[in-house]
Amino acid sequence: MRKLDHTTIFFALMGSFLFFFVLIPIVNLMVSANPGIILNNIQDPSVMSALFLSIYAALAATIIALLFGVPLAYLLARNDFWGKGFVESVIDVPLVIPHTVSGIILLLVFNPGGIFGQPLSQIGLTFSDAIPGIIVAMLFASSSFVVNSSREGFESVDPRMEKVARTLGSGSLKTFFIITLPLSLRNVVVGSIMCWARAISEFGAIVILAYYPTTAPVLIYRRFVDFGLQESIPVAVLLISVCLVLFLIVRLLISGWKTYDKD
Amino acid sequence: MLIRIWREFEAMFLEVNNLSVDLGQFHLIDVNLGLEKEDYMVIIGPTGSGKSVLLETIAGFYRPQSGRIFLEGKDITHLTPEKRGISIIYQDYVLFPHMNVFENIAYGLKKRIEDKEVIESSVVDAAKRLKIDHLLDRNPETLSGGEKQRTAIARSLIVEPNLLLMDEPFSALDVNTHTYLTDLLKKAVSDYQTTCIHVSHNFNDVWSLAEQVAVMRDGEILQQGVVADVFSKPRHDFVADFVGVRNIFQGEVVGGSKGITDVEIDKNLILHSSDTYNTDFKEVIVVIRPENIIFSNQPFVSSIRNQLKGIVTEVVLIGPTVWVEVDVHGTSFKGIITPSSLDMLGIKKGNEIYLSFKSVNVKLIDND
Ligand SMILES: Nc1ncnc2c1ncn2[C@@H]1O[C@H](COP(=O)(O)OP(=O)(O)OP(=O)(O)O)[C@@H](O)[C@H]1O
Ligand SMILES: [Mg+2]
Repeated sequence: MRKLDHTTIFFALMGSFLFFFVLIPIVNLMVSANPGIILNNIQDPSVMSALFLSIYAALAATIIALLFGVPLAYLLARNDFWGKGFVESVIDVPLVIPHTVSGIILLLVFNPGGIFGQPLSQIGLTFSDAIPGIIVAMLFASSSFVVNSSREGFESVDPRMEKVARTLGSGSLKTFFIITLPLSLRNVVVGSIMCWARAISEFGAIVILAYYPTTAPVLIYRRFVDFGLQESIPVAVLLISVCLVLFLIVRLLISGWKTYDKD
Repeated sequence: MLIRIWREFEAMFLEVNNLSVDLGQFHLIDVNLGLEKEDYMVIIGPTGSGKSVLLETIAGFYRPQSGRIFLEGKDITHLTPEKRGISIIYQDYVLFPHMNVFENIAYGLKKRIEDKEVIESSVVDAAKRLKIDHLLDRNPETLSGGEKQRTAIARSLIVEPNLLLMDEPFSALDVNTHTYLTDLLKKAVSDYQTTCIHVSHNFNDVWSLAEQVAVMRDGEILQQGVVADVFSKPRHDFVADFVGVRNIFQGEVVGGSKGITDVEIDKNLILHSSDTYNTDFKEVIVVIRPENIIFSNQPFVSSIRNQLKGIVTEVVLIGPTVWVEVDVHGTSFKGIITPSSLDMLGIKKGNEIYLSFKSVNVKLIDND
């Protein structure tokens, strides 16, 4: 075994603070919940519908993020253009502003009279207190995970590999789907799952844009406000379990997926 | 109309005309190249001179600012890369890591050929030519460098490209692999009747592969031509400096004994080389470096095998050295001496002079 020097020991002591700071509360929550009450909650339709709503609205947001985010990621990975830095910053803005602010921003444009809400209401889409509003709030807060992770993947594929495929007769779109995307699929998938998990957890923007129908984080908040801590714990345990499972999948993908290094 | 007819009769197989590319910091300037079908051209030049940019422009990855590229008489200047019928090979192989060797080689055929069996037999055939048919199931990451590059060569040749571009294909390989691959490549491109442009830093590639050579510097082609011409008659100081002037002749092996090969480079002008050749009457290129030629006013008795008598036709002072050109029965030899030797020997234009050079300094290069 490697000899432990003072620096290593000191850094390990300092470093373990954050680790336990995050771990202990989570474990504490999990063990403090009464299994019987959790079972009751699983049978409670309002809890289950909130969980399902969170999961599938987040899934919809992730699919939209993929549809538009992957092309953007590829553009950013392969091209230098004027204003590229600005585009990148804009994509990251939702990560650095308070989510309640995101909610207000979105409510302004997606309310039935807003610049997006008004034309979209013509085709029957309403956002305030409706599922599309939840999806939009999730998309706004989480899409940068898809863009940034996919982009990293595309950047790791040697552009000359695409050039070889082109000279061998593949058009640029076909080359993207046969060469570039398969080689960066891990990054795209990891980004999507991060996006999904983040979207499930979204609270601030949803509370403002679409308090109803109730998503899981909103349900937890309402139970806490109306009935106190003990009533909110079982739902919290269920939600965190879903998120942890997703997160576990990400970790497994990261470690187990075959990577193709440039050589 | 007239121009078209002229084109059909006069156009070379590949013509690059006045090609200019603007990459901001770097420019290709007014590049002209011409190749006939099945020609093999090696482009040499210092690092950063634009060799890779030129290849990728011909392949269609940079948009020229001006100029045209014709391949088989067809203007391909604005075609997308996939429509040009040009293959490219890079130094670091860039095999597709998510496909095995078979799938890599078959990649370009899938679009052209439907029949799986035809694809399979072409892949096996190409793999056999490059001696990788035992590796078809392997993943690229498990191959050695030489095997990877043979896979890349097979992958690019199997589509029978009009033009094969190679950007330092052997630079990452050791000497033995380099020699082995040179032979394989030579055979394969002649089997597939491929026209090639090969960027290299290695003069051996020029000797052993090229018919044509082009010298590049700062985005310009300084000289292009038949290898022997460029190396013996550089038209530019830089080319002379870069390639090092050499005496280069076409020759034919006419005999030999005891490790000495006799080569006829002109009627009745026979040189002796210690490079061995086992087959008689073999076409060779003969190279003698100018600094290996010894000048004297009298013939002298020595173990030096080659002694010739000629007339000085040119004496040029270049920097600290003097170039002396001597005509021997119509064949011109170039030598290099110091100014003091020049004085001592009293060498002047029109004088008679004797040239001597050792047989070890007469290099023979296979010219098949
Ligand atoms: N896409 C690009 N945009 C701008 N400049 C470029 C681009 N690609 C290459 N260059 C520049 O063009 C010049 C020529 O590059 P190139 O790679 O063609 O040189 P090279 O002759 O192949 O050199 P080497 O022998 O080192 O491979 C370099 O200065 C390089 O920085
Ligand atoms: Mg290069």
